[in-house]
Amino acid sequence: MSAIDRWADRVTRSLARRTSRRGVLGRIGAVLLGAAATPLLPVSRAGAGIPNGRDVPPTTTGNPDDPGNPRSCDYWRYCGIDGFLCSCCGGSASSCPPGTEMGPITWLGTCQNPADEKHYIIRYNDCCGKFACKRCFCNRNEREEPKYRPQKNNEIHWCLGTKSTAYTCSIAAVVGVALERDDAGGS
Amino acid sequence: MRASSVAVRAAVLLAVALGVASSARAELAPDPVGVSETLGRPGPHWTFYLDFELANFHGRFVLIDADDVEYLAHLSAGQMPSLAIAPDASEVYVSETTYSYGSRGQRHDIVTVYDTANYAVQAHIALPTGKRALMASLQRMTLLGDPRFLAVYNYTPATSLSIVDLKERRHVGESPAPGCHLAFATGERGVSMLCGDGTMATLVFDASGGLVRTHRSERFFDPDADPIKTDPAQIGSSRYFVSYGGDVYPVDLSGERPAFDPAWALVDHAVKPAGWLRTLLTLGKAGPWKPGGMQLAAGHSARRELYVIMHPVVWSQGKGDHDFPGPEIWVFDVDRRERVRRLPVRGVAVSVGVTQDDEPLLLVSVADIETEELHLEVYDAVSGEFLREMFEYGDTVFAFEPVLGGAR
Repeated sequence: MSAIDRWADRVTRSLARRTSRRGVLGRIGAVLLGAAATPLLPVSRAGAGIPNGRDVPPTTTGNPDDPGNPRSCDYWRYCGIDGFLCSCCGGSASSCPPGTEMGPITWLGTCQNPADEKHYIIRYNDCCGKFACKRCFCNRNEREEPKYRPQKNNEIHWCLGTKSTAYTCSIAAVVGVALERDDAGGS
Repeated sequence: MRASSVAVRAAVLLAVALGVASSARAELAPDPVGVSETLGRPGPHWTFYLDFELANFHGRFVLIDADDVEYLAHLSAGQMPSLAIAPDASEVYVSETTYSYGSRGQRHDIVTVYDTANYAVQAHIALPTGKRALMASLQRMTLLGDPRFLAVYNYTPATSLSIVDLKERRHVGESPAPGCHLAFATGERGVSMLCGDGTMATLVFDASGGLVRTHRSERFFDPDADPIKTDPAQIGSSRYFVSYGGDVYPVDLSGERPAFDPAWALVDHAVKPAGWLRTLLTLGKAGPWKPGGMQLAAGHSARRELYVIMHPVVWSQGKGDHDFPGPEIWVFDVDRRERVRRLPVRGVAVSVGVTQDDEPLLLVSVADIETEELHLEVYDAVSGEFLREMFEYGDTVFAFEPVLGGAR
């Protein structure tokens, strides 16, 4: 490798680190907490690091039409989620952990399934009644809108209408195929 | 064996030597029992920050002096608390939600009143149960222009405002505000709220805290084309709302109704993405930039300056990046509507606050790009020089609330 190649490689890697989801988005973007609050960069492991699920063993849906790892922030349904992933906490991408109660009120997103390239309406619900799971924090804000459009906002604490507003984790369930593309709030 | 006996002998000799030395000095008097510190008038750089606890979504408001990041006091609060500080800094108000058995049991929604000498609880004022909005926002509670009254935003998801009379220490009443959100003090006894159609509703209250009338403004931004973020900077009596795309919408809240000044651009919308070589050489900084972050904007009233966290669009890839943290804080003169400084931070900034004195300090929660660690850092707001950081601040620094009573 020539000196120029090595220089280019170094610059490229440095840039990639700052632009990939695992880079700024996954590491710093994940700073932004969610279902409620935000920010965060919680100090979870020996002084550094977001509990971002990086070392949590992966899982699959078992359905080739629903590809990806539901314990990873990259999973397609999570494009508008903000919180701890229930799939790392005793629940799944669409179900709550034992002994918690799914909040009946929801925020909505539109995410593209890479298998059929269709846009699906995704219902995000918080699971409530126990304190936080503190695993697999994930914050993605595609098409997220401010709080004056609450049905599209992921920073609201969606444990509403539950026995307790204690926040445990969040799920992402398919509602159906989106009839039209929603670009509001996506830019 | 031998080594330890040597050690024992050495220890005995040392003890004897210390005994001789101490006998030449006055002995320490016993410390008094039961002493708690008190605080004086706030200094110009005193600031609260919200430490958001991941385990239970409770919060702490920690009071520090940014001059030396000295920890002065803290208020421990319940779930998703809000803070308001009396204009004369005589009292501090925290709204919070707790349950009788920790995560369960009976819910309590209260406003807790603290004095500012002892930071001790003076009163608990009950709010209507189960209505207080639980969400990430500084704008869920505000003192009115007449600081006898406090407005608390409710979301169930039906929306309303609760008015608290701080003199009488009681909840006065609740006024519905359908479709409108958050709370921004307006005029003497008004509260404006952001509505989903791009307007503001302003609820006006009388000297007893009763609702007198409601105004609805014209549409001042387009929530479909370019939504505004809901945590504005305050400069004087105006709020500066920053939009996703990089414009700023000034709203003067000094009168009974909001007055909307024309929006202007924080970024040059004509900047095109740089070519790949320039992108590589500049790590993406050559192309367009956008605002992003949590508490992404702050204002300095006397200097008429707006501080906004900015990031290169290349870094965020431009989608859903309105909370994306940024490596620079851009400073704008709001009268000339132009950028006057660019202040790089050491990592990427998540939230920003600025003190209101003549030698302002910038408080920034900064994430380290490599280690992911969050730091509470202090910069000179004028020169941008890094001054100091605070260690062991808690779980997460979410927001800043400078104490204005000592500075304004």
